[in-house]
Amino acid sequence: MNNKQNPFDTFNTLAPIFNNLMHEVLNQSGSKTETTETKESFKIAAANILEIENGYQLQVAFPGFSKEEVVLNIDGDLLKITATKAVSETTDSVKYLKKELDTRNYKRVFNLSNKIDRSKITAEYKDGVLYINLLKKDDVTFNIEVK
Amino acid sequence: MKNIFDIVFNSGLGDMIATDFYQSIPSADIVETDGGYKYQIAIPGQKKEDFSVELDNNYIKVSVINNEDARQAYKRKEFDYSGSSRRFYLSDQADYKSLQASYTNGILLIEVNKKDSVQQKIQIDIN
Repeated sequence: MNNKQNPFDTFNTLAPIFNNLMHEVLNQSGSKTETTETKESFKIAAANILEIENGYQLQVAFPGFSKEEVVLNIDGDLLKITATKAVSETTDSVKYLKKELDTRNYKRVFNLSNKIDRSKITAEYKDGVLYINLLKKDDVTFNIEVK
Repeated sequence: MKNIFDIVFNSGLGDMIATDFYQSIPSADIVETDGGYKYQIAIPGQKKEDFSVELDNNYIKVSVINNEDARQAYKRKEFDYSGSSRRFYLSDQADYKSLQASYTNGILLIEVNKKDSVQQKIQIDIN
């Protein structure tokens, strides 16, 4: 028995983790050669997954970002969320006594299972958390007439 | 926290490599400007009624209410600040009476002004 995963356990983030790792590795190679594409470094946003009636709710945290700075995108089977700072804040005459918050933009990607109804996805942003409701498709069974 | 067998045998490869982190203590930036101090504490997903900000000697203590009724069926949890607290040092230069707190976009911002910087120089006579 190979498949021990339950059919809804498809919220894996393998692809973007590797992408991020590769970007981190390449960015820190120390090479100053110019590249045509900018390799941005993203911080991976923390996410909670809550079971709700007939589906799931993703809660992805983007502290410090406003609703306008958060973009939710569906690309095939991938649910991509990015939070980008519109303006980089100027930091003159400011001294950091403690700096723990990462100033990088956030990103998180999820794989959507086939059982999720794409047309019923809703999202709401409140207090630094994007709440995404994913509902399962209705089970459709019907008979096909044999001619 | 998963036990080692769950991790090895029941997780997909993505789960193993994906960061199994769990944020429960809020991260913070403390900034000093000419006029005062700003504490920016990242605690997303709360309501402002969930916080208590106390001043205890030279420490600002920020606590997040322990949300017992939020014991819902989470399939995966990577952040949960309920019940957490953290103390931050508040310099003597700060005028604690001017302390103000606000909560926007998941950041609890605490601002304190510095005391008037005009200090009187005291001449000490040496006998």
